Amino acid sequence: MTIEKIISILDCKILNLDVSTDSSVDSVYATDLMSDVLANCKKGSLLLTILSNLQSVRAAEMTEVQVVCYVSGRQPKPEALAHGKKKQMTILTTDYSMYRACSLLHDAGLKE
Amino acid sequence: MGKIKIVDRIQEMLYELEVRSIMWTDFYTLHPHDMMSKVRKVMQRNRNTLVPIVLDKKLIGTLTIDNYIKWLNSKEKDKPVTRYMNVDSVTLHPQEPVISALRKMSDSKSIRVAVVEPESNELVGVICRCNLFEDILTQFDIVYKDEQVRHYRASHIFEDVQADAVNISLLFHVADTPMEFGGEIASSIRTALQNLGVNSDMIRRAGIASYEAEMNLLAYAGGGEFQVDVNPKHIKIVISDRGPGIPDVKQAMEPGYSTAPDWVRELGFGAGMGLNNIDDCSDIFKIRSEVGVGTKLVIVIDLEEP
Repeated sequence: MTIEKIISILDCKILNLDVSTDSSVDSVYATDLMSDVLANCKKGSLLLTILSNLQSVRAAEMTEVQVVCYVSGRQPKPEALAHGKKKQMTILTTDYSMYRACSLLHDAGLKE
Repeated sequence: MGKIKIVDRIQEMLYELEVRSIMWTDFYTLHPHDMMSKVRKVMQRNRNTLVPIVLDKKLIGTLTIDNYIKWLNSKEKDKPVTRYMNVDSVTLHPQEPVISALRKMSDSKSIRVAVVEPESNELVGVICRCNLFEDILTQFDIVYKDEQVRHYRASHIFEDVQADAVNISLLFHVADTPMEFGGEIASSIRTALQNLGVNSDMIRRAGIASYEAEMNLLAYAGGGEFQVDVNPKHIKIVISDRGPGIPDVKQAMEPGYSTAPDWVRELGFGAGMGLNNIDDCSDIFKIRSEVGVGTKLVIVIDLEEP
């Protein structure tokens, strides 16, 4: 699924406008536990989380996740956004809750 | 993704590229006392129709082909260049990004522009719009080749160095920083392995294991040391600390067992998965701990198929 489509489904705000939204993700993983990201999140996934500190982006970097979306209107901390930009990740936020975001992406056909 | 990365890099290079790296520095100039009859020769020698007029290294004006034709048409006797030169032409600074130079040149409709030092107005170069693309491409080629060479050198180090065995040793000191800002060492290890040309799956495993271990050092031990050894056979990471030690290692290895305080959990860790994650990423994982002395982890990730 293209990032463009995810943005439209989740009505996202894109926080780093200099990255392209033409690329795509193969799967999605939703969690607030970073050890869970490290253990189970597939390379090239979209990561949905409410955890907004630097570690949300560090865990994405380690697992080679390029797209992070913060749910429930959560804004990443400045150091998280800065590191995400440095690693050329796409950083998004949505006002939808974790549950609602997951169900919308599931209905659109995105698998875990 | 590949194409996007190339475009990103070119954009980045365009913004990084400074006027000084593509300007011409080898050209003739004229003195304010020089006469108009000298201009043609200087233009011919420079193969450029912009002639800077310089006094004590400082740019005081420029002459273009238009000024020269104006003088020819006037049929006046020889006159000093100062009578015909432009004094308010656009100039560039050597540290200016090429992108902004292009914009300035196009706004002022200038084809050739002098480059001067910002404070002193000292002339340091000349830029011509007609050669600009060629000059930029040459510079891109140099940067690209440098990057290729650097990558080649790092990733072929194991083949290029003549020895019975080559082992690269990296040492990282994990300072006692707040856990919230941790992960820098794991990130550096990932970059180092990428530069050494290690297979990406192995980099991912080494990164995850190092990251979990680094967060443990910050949560429980107040810092420690990482020794990373890379050779064609394996990546070996030894992590040691002088923290409180683990009283029961077997229990600590049980999935879900955790003694983490709330502040660790609030950061997204402390669910009793760390050591298991490290174990899952390793081909060999050893842990030795002594209460009051410290903990030592040994992680080996094989690079060669057994």
